[in-house]
Amino acid sequence: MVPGWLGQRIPISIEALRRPLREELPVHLRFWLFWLGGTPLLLFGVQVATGILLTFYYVPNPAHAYDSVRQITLVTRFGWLIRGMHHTASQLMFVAVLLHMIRVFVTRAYRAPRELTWVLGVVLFLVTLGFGFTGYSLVYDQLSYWATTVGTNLIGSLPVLGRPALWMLRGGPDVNPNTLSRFYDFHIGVLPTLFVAVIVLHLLLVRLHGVARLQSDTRKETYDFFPDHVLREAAIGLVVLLALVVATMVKPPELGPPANPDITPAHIRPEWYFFPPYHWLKMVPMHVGIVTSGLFVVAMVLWPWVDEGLERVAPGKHLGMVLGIAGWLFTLVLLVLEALS
Amino acid sequence: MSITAQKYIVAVLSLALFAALVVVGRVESKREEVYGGKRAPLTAASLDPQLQRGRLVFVKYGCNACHGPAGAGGIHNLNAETGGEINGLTKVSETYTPAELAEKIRTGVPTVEKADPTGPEPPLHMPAYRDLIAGQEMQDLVAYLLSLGAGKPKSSSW
Repeated sequence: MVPGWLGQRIPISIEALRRPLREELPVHLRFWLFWLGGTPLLLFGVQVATGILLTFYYVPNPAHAYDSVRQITLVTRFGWLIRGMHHTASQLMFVAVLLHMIRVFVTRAYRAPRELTWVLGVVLFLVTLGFGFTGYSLVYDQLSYWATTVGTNLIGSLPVLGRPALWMLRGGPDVNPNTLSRFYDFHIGVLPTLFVAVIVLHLLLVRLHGVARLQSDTRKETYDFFPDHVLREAAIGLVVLLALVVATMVKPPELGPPANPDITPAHIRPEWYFFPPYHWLKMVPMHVGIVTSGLFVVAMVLWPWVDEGLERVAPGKHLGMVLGIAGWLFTLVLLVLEALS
Repeated sequence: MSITAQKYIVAVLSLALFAALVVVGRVESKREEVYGGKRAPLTAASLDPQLQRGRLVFVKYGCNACHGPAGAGGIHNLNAETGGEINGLTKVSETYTPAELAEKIRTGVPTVEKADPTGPEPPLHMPAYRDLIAGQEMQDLVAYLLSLGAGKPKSSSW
């Protein structure tokens, strides 16, 4: 039991508190590619901390939003650092989440009974995209304003639910003063709540099932979560924080001209993590693009079962792996094409 | 890798992070030296006290609710002859003298002409601000509105 006064108030045994620290991990986890799940969590922590600081100065009102961001960037002490870290961490978040997903995909760690861990992971990825989209709109410079207009237009083209969803998101038929309040609400309220809830479930499932063993690895040895693995996670966490600070110093956050609904800029482009669907929608007719993008997301969510089904149809042919790699490569090609266009 | 080696790595990385934060502090004091008390302003409105006050008047009386942030326009007004939208204010300096503009604000636009004569009455019209805005506030507001079109950003290359 926890001793003394505190133990009487919180009747929990020290043993129960220590147990999670003693979890034995398979040795393949010693390779750094397998530590990447913790990085998005750390970056989420950075986003919460820097995000709270930004809300001290940010004003979610179209008349003041741009000026408040300018104030944060140019006047507030360390504002440039906080805003820069928030922006850079969001970029790194996508890199970390994608690397983590690719690793889980390649090692097929989503196999039964861990399908739900994967599904929750995909939900986290989608919520992260939501964070990126809503956060970008808050800056309220030209790029931010027009990317929001174009992005929400796309939602409006979804079948059946598109129009009502668009109306709800924008608070009207167009991007208007209501839109900013709503996006702000989503960005600092709805999405973080959802994210925390899903991440708790995701981690709970990871701990309940234990770390997936590699199919190709027959070694039986294990090592301790604490201190061995924690030190590794700490090292990678420090590297990430260091990279964040240095990247922000080298490339402080930018601020374009203020949003002007009268002037449509010549080139409207979302952030790089939206390049693949954006380029795809430019390549094919709108409805085809939207339906296929939707199917792509559904396939991602249901991937453990898709993979299992393919394995049953053609055992030993690795159809799932081939199809999956084709999907990843296709996404990468779209990203590169948009980046070069 | 032994636990001790890992501890050293974590210690070195922590020191590196600390060093980076020290550099950040230096960068911050450098920025303060460069920008001083008033750091680089980006718009005319933040340079001139009268324009700043005018902007506050603009927001105080809710002009932005219909004419958009910084008079950018784009708010819908069904069947209004001005393209179904309330006009922006970025070009008032080209069409009004300060006296005319002040008079326009005082009288408002009681009736908004229809784009389609058989269509519905446009729901929004501009109220008369005769009893609300006067004196210094009116001067500041007019100065602010006339400054809106100036130095408009060109469409940038991104």
